[in-house]
Amino acid sequence: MSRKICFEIAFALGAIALGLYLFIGSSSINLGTGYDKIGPRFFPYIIAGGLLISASLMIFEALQRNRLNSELHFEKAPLVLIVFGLIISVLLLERLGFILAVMILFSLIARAFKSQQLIRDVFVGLILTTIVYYLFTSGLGLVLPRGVLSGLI
Amino acid sequence: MESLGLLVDGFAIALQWNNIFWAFVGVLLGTAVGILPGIGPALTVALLLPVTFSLNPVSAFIMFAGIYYGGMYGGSTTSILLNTPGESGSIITALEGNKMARSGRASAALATAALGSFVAGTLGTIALTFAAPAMADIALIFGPAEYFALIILGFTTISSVLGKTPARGMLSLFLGLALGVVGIDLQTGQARFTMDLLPLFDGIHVVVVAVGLFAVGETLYLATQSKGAGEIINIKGWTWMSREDLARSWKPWLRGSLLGFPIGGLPTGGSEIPTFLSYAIEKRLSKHPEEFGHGAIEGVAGPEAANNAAAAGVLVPLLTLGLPTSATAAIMLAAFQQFNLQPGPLIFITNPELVWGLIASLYIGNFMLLLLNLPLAPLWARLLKIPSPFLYGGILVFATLGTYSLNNSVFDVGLMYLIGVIGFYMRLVDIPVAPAVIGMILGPMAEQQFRRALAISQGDATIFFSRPISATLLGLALCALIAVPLVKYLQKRS
Repeated sequence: MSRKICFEIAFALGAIALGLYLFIGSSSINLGTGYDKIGPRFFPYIIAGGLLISASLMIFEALQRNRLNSELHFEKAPLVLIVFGLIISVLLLERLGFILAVMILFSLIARAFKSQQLIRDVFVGLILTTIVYYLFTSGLGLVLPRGVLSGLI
Repeated sequence: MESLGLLVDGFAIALQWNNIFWAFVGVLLGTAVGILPGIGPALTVALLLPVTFSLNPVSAFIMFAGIYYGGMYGGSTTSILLNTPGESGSIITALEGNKMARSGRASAALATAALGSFVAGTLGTIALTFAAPAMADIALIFGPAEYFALIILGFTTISSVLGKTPARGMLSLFLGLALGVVGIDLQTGQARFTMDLLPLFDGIHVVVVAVGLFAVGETLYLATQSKGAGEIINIKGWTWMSREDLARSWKPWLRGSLLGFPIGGLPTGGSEIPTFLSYAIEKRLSKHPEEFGHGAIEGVAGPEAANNAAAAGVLVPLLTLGLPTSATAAIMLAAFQQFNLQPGPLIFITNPELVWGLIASLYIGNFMLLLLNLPLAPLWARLLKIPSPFLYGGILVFATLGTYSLNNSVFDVGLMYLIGVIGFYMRLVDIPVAPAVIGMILGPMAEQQFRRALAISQGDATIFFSRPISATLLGLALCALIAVPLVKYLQKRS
């Protein structure tokens, strides 16, 4: 079995798991009171059914196409770098603040896109996030986390 | 002819200085994001939602409309010069346009695309001016049963048109529907699938999903494909088009517009079908069929016009029925909801200044786009030289910013990243992401209409089949569901 078919089946199995979760979870939704004839459980049941059917169809398709078709291809290193950047950014957004956390994310993404100049990327990232920070907070009145820089900015 | 009077009122609104300003901002941003690979009008409007909350809705929608039309113009520039179609509507443009550019005719290709977009955009907007009120009159007799049937028709056609196989489109649609169900049930006030997480009680915002899928998913996908940057073709001597080019272009423009608008206006929407049809027709009608595949100007002019006319057509079901048929339209619907507006026949009565101001601004925006794109194309093309590490890093900066400022919530940011990683996986296994966005926004509407219809009929489910319009729409949905696999099966046999 090609790698692509394995990935396809894995995705479909995930969708089936989600469908089962919805199916089981639906029965524990409170019905509430009201004139509503259908209640809040009906649609989740339908969606669960739809997920189960379409995911099963996809498995069926994947197995049928088991000839060769296009091969799945992706590089692991950039994936790891970006996912790492995303985790850093979400964990540190409030602690480090928008400017620094997103600057780290920016530099890691630049690295994932084969940039070799880390110092330049950090610098560009810092300038960009600082400009964006002031543009959207002072300029447009949004609130962004200040984090460790809260005394400075 | 009532439309004309209303349109004049609309122009009075759209020509106010501040609205001209927002239209200009919109077309400028739209062209830029259309040109930049990896970022499109859907993502841009989604990111701007939190920022525009304080804006007057008329100005906000005038800007969004500018982004929407501008994205179409910009997309063709990238297809021609870089051969990477940003969205499915410009695949064909890339096919012939890039060949023209390679043989030194980049400026003719860009000019016929810009002029064709202008002609088609204007014709499409004229058609919208007359079709929308007519459609709104018809939609006035729609009750919940009809709306439900219409949304179901949209679901079946969208999931069978987008994506390699209907099963994949359906899977994406149902994933979107599942996301849409999270939160407090509107009818009964009961929590559904909130996992006792407080931020989920308000439901998942469509911006979180759209930004995750379009920004993070796309960035991950492009970073992991070691294709390297494509070759950007330089424009040599900005000469516009010759008399012969014009003579070969104007008929394809008109035919493309005629094809694009009605197909774009169907509940299936989409710009693939009209652009492909236009290409096939131009190839058949051309006096130079041998040039097709090597850079035939008709093959750029026709599909590009069809693409823009379809973009105008998509606005008909969006404005008159509240039915989005593209990802950008789905985000625009979310924008309407943000301003507590519900597109549909009533919006023509309750908010005429918004609807007609918006339609009038489309004429103005189109004109601005022509002026911006025709003489300045070489300048715009420079945007393509932004190094990809900075471009995608920058996209994620704005994605994080936009998502955080929805509710000032880190939870939303984390959820958006997670959905982005899932979106990347979906791209790897050829599952289209647009049906998920559309399903997410239309799912709650479908449920509400369904339950309303049954409340009216006192629980009698035959209401969907006893009312003629609803029965017809559901019948069509069934046909759409059967037709695609059937056609494929027959093709296989022959």
